[in-house]
Order: sequence, then C-alpha cells, then structure tokens
Amino acid sequence: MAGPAVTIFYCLSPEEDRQSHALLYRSAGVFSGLSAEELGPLETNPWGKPSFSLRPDLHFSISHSQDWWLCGFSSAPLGLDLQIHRSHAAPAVLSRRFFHPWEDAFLSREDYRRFFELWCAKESWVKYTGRGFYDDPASFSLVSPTGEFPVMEGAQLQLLPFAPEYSLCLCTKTMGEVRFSSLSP
Amino acid sequence: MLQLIQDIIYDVTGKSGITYETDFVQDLALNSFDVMNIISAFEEHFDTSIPTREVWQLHQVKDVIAYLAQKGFTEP
Repeated sequence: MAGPAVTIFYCLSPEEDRQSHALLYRSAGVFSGLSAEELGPLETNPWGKPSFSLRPDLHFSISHSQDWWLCGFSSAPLGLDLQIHRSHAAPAVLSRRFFHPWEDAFLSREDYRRFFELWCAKESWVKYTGRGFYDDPASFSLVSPTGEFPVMEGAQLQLLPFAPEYSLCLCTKTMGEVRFSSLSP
Repeated sequence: MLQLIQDIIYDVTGKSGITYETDFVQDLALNSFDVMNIISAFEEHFDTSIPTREVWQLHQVKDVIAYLAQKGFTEP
C-alpha cells in the first residue's frame, strides 16, 4: 500500500536563514490552507527538529544548498536533504572521518562518485528520525554489508532528480507519490 | 582565535564579516555539510578529533572560542 503523498516546494535560496522562516509558513499555507496563527509558532524537539506547535501532525522537512531552498510536507514524518556537489575537503577525507566503514568501502569502490548521494541519504535519515547528527554519523550505515545502497530497516530512502550538480534524497516510512511545486518569489 | 575562525570559515564557505556574535545557521545560513567541512578544517588545524555531538551545541562564534579554550586548544 502506498504511503502518504509528499509535496516538495522549492525556490531560490534566501540569503539569511531568517527568511527561510517566512518561506516555511508561506509554503505550509499553500499546502494546508492554514494561516500562521492556525499553525502556531515553531517549537523544537530535544535535538532541534522544528514542528508547528498547534499542528504537529503537519510534518515538514527543510533543506537548502547553494542556489536552492526546499521544503517537503506530508501527513507523516519525513526527512529531506539537498546538497550541491561542492566540498572544501576531499570527499575521501570526509568519508573516512564521518561515514561508517561499510559506507566508506562502498564509496571507495565507486571512486567517491556517489559521495553526495550518500551524504544526502544520511542527512535525510537523521532528519526523518528527528535526532539530527547528534549521534555520530559513522555510527550507522545506509550501505548493507553486501554493498546495497541506500538501505535502512523501517524506512524508504528515495534519491530524486532535481537539478544538475545537486543530489536530493527523501526519507519516509513508506513510499508515496512525490510532487514538486515551485514557490513564487 | 577570532581571526583563525574567520580564516577557516572564509576558506570553507567563502563567507566573511564574522564577529563573536555571528550565528552559524541564523546569520550565515550554513547547512550540516558546511558544518562538517568546518569541523574537518578545525580537526586538521589542531590535529585532533572533535566529537560531532558536541558541535551541535555551538551556535555562535563565541561558543566555538569558549569550546576550544575549554579543550585547551590555542593558536600555535
């Protein structure tokens, strides 16, 4: 059985995070028809994941990278992450430092070409769980011992096409329809 | 120490104008990947390992300076 649908709103990145707050309420209004007053102010769980205080059943996940800002909405928990393929440190260095040994071995075999896909998948998972990177990112693996990627028991990780030179991953409990919707400036 | 932090953040993200009060997320709009790159740069500079769970408590530049001082890291 298909899971709840996910709508992903996108627009050009705001310059400051404060503007992300306004974009969140705008997109939530388009998705749900609810006003900012009906949604209530944001509150955060102990690891910093935000939710609407008056409508915690309206789940969302924000991601931004370089030129783009995205926010996914659904009636069930979700984690969304976008990342431009640009890094100061070499992917191999970051992989050895922050990824699980199974993940590093997988990336090494692929000459680190899938580094950003794996990064997005890991971040979408920790956003889905609501714990962020409070836990050491090397403490869990999205690559199975036999080299399958992306896998995580009890969750579905979908690598979605978005824009050239970007990776995007959505994590949900079950797969449902995914819609993209442009948010006008 | 402020100068070192300014240099590292500029090298990693291209962002400047960093002060003691600068908030990494609110003011610089850094994402988790930027933060991981910054951690990696600090670890390389100080030849140490910084536990990631401690990093997420550091919101402003002054928090990083206090953290580094508490850990005994000083500029060479």
